[in-house]
Amino acid sequence: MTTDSRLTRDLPAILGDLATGPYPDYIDDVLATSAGIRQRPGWTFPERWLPMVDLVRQPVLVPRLPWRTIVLAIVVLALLFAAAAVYIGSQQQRIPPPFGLARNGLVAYDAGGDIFTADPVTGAATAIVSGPQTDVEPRFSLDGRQVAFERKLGTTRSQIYVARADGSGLTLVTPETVALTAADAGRAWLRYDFSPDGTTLLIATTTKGVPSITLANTDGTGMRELDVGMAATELSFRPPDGREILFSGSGLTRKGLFAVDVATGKVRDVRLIGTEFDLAGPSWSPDGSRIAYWMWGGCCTGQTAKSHVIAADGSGDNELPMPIGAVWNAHATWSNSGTRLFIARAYTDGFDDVRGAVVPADGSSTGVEIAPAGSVETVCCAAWMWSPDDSQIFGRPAGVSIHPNALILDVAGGPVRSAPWVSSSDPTWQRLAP
Amino acid sequence: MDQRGLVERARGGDHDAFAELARTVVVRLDQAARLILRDPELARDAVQEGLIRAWRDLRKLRDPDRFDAWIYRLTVNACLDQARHKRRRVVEVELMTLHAPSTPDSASAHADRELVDEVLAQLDEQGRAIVVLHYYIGLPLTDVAATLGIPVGTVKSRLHRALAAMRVAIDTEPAPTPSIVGGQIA
Repeated sequence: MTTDSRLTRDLPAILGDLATGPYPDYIDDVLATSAGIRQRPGWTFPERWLPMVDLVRQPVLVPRLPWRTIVLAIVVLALLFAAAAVYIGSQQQRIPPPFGLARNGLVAYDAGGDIFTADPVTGAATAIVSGPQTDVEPRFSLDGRQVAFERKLGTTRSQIYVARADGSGLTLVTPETVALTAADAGRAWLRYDFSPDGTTLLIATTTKGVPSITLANTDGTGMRELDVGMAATELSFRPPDGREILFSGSGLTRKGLFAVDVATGKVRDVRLIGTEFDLAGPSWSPDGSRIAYWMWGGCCTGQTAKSHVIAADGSGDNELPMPIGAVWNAHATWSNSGTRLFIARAYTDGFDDVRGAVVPADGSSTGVEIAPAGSVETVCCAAWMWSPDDSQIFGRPAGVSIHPNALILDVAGGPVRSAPWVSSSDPTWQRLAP
Repeated sequence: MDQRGLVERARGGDHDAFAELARTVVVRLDQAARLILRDPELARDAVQEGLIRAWRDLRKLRDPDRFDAWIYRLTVNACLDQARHKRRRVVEVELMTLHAPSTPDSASAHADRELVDEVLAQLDEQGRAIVVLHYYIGLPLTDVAATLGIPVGTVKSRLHRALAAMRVAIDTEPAPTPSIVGGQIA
């Protein structure tokens, strides 16, 4: 007899011997337990209702699902997806917060009717929007991913477009042409700006000759006018959520700073001034808790502007101190950190000794002058901004009609230098994630 | 009363009938579970689980004549569940050696039993279940496949490998040393 046949013949007996053990006296416990358990009613078994084969009688020809393999495959797929997500995420641009310090990106400017972006250090430039149209005044969104610009239609009407920072995805956000307000005072140069979330463009328009507020969706789906009942210029969204818009207002009976609730349209007074005074340049601190502006009038001839900081509710007006000999200061511009202001400070009542200074926003000192006389302003309507990392001041030292080159000031007091590109457009510097 | 009658009564809720059925199969179930799990405590738990499931779900069984196959299926699956839980709990269970002959046997039979025991110890629980269901319980391969929920081909190949291992072990085992009785070679 072969081993095979002997083995198959003897195996049941061998197994029986191997399995020999004491009588399973636990059967009484089992039966005691089962006696207390109710049988499941027959109708609860699907086999009673569905044409299923008897699970015992029929061999299962379909393999049991390989759960271990399936789970392993799912885990592997999940890991692959996670790795892909990390890879894609690392390839995508991280988004900076809309306010506060950020990393310096590109600057944008117009030249010859086209829109360019440039490396602010080397000046290496790229035309991101070009063509026969006259496109001017690019402005980066607060997350650095979009650029808005004006396309001029004749001398008074314009369209506003929004594109991605590389010029792609061009979108017309003003279905109807608009007339922008004049950029001739304070921060009126900033005639359109993005909401903190980048979905809305705040546009300073003129309706029937009256400066007005227009809101346009940056996806091009519509625009509307926000009626505040008075002439409104120098518009800005309140950080951090843009729920209010600050503006310089002038009505029949009131004049000063006002804020309008975007959702309700309700206008509140922030700082009312007498008719003998004027103010300009209101701007929010990056945290939305304070407002800087400058004010003049009430006496005298010549320039008398003084920069002020007040709380968002209009309380605690604080005129920033000046050193002995200084006559006026203006163009208060918030640092991204919210602790300092850049100002143009003059030592005459004209424009022949104007210096750039960085001062503490709380008015605790007269600060440090970082740009010598003659470098920062010669006449009306300069435009300044801090670099996203607060290390530099970037701007245009005089009105656009004078066409000076942009300047870059070193906050630490280094030499003032001309930007390595030629343009008279207003400053805008791309914010990147730190 | 025959088994069919007991099953029908038990399906009708007669626990005494079920108790009688359970007492007739519990020894066989316990032995099968011990062979598969090689641990009497785990085997006891598996048999308990199988029997309780049988009572609870007895109305699921359509054909009373299939009671034996059905109760083995429940018990074997309970064994495999126990084995899985044991692995999850990472409990170190010392595998028992299953050689406690009920009757005196020859040296050759004793040697074969030890070799089969060694080969069984090297199989996983499912492999042992295949051997036990087919060679000890006597289920046809199709029922073994149905019980374990695996293809018949898998049953055949695993059984073939198990038998081959046993055959190799037996063939390579040296012949048992003759015992010396009374100074004479027996």
